[in-house]
Amino acid sequence: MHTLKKMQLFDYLNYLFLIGFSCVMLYPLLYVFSISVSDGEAVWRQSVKLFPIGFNLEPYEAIARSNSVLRAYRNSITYTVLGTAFTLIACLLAAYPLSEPRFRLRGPISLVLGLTLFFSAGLIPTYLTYQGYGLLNTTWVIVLPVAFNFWFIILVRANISTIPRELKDAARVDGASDFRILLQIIVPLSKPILATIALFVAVAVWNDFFNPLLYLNNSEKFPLTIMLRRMLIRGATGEVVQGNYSDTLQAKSFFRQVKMATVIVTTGPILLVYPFVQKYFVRGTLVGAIKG
Amino acid sequence: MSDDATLDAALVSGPSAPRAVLRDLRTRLHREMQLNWQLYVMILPVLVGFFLFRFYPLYGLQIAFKDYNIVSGIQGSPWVGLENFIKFIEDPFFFRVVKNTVVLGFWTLVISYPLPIVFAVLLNEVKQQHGLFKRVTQSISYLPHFIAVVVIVGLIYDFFSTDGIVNQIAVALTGEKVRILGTSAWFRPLYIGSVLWQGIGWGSIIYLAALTGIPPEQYESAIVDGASRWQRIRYITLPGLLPVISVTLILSVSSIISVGFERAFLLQQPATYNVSDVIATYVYRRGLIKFDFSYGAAIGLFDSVIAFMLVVAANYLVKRTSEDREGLW
Repeated sequence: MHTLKKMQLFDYLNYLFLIGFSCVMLYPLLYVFSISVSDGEAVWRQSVKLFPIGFNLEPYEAIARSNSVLRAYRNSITYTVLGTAFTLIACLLAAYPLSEPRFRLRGPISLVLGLTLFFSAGLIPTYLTYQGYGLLNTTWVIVLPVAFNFWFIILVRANISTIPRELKDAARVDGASDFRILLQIIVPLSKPILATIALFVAVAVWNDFFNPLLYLNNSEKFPLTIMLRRMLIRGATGEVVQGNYSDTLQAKSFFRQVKMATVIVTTGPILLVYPFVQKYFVRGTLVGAIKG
Repeated sequence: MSDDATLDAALVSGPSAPRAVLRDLRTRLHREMQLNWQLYVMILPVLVGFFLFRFYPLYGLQIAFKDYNIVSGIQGSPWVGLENFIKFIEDPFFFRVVKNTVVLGFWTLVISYPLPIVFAVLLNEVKQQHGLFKRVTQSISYLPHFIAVVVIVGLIYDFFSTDGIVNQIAVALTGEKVRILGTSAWFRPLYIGSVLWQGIGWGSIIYLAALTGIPPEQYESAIVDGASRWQRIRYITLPGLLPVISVTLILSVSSIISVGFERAFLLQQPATYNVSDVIATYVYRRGLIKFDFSYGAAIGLFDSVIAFMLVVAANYLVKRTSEDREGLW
């Protein structure tokens, strides 16, 4: 007799497959970590396959000494913080008026801004326009355009319209200004959706390679993603690896450890907060999917 | 809201002399601004931002029909009609980049579209009493989605290099090294493999959400009726997914012609251009690196028009093939 609870052969195979699947997802990350912290000789002899062998933090010290990586790290943090902040501000400033029935222009404005979901000018015209603004090689070109995303405004607006009218009306009767209502009623009651959007934007900006590649060509401004491309894909050691390595193979192997350590410090922040914020991501995706 | 109502009532029942109506309108406008000026102030910076960063670039799209030069600028450059588009069609690389884009996009779609559905169905088969196992597997499967493409491609360069971990395994198994990087034959497998690794879990979220809407009683009564596992999947699980599947399919179809820039750009090398050079990377190289701005803009426009037409066509087909299924619009 079948029941939903009883395990059958298929179930064992299925569980085995899912466990194998998880291993495939995790193995590359574990391997990268192991290479970065293993003893130099073990890496050089290619004996590290899974778990770290020995222990050594020299690659991380090399990163900490490298001005270019540190600068890229600072830049990435700046871009992420500003880009996220601007996005949230723009979302709130637009979503509140667009959710108020007494705001007469909300229909036409929603329609016009909605067009941006379907049409974009494409790479070259956008590049030339931003160049015309004199924004190339500035922080602004990375953190401002990302803020004007109608999709996120829709999400916040949908959330605001679930806030009971009486709350806003009561505040207005008591003489609260719209700015005050926004700050003291709307913002506190929109925290979950704002957190979701903040996470999406933060990860997108932190991981963004395309915009920095297009708009930045001054190494002072490079974020981590551009640095990573130079190190991992182009193999440029830059000033990261210095010192006397008589054996070039050894130097190469050490540089490889530095590269893996850079991957860890780049991806680390996301992986560390991931378990705690995962539910926000999933919820955000679903809200988006349903509204879409 | 209540203000509007009283104002409207005043308008209807008030004196109907034109002058009075005008005065009423004026006070109404006055009151509207007085009441709501803060809302206008609030939204103004956002409108300015959208104009500067989203709409004004559209004006620059005209260079696709012009012979852009830096001195004359966007507005001053001479019109050339469809010359840039004709140039693209006659370009010796036209066939190559269009074919590469479509082949890469097609195989990516065919392989990476169904697998999240399969994954969701398999996860759905996990017993209810093993909820923790299901949740942990789900969480792990989403993880790669949050890793930067540049990191993933960087790791591919490390893992698949001639003395990387993959070749270490290959040597252990077969005694021979395989040259993978910079080889045309391997570009598509690497590209699609990395899309899969990154996207299979994340792509399953929407299907898993649809599956939570199916009441467990349906499965239980199916078992009582003697339905096999395959029949349960075929007649309960899959029909539950169908509405979502038709929407995601429409949305994915345009990806055939718009292969993402980042992954292809980072993974390609001049040695593999014969398979890896896609429309997006060609636009970047011709337009920005070789300063052929008008030409790049024209190719970009060509690409997005076709992508748009594909979505419309897919939507039409989904609507046509079944009466009860709805398209996107």
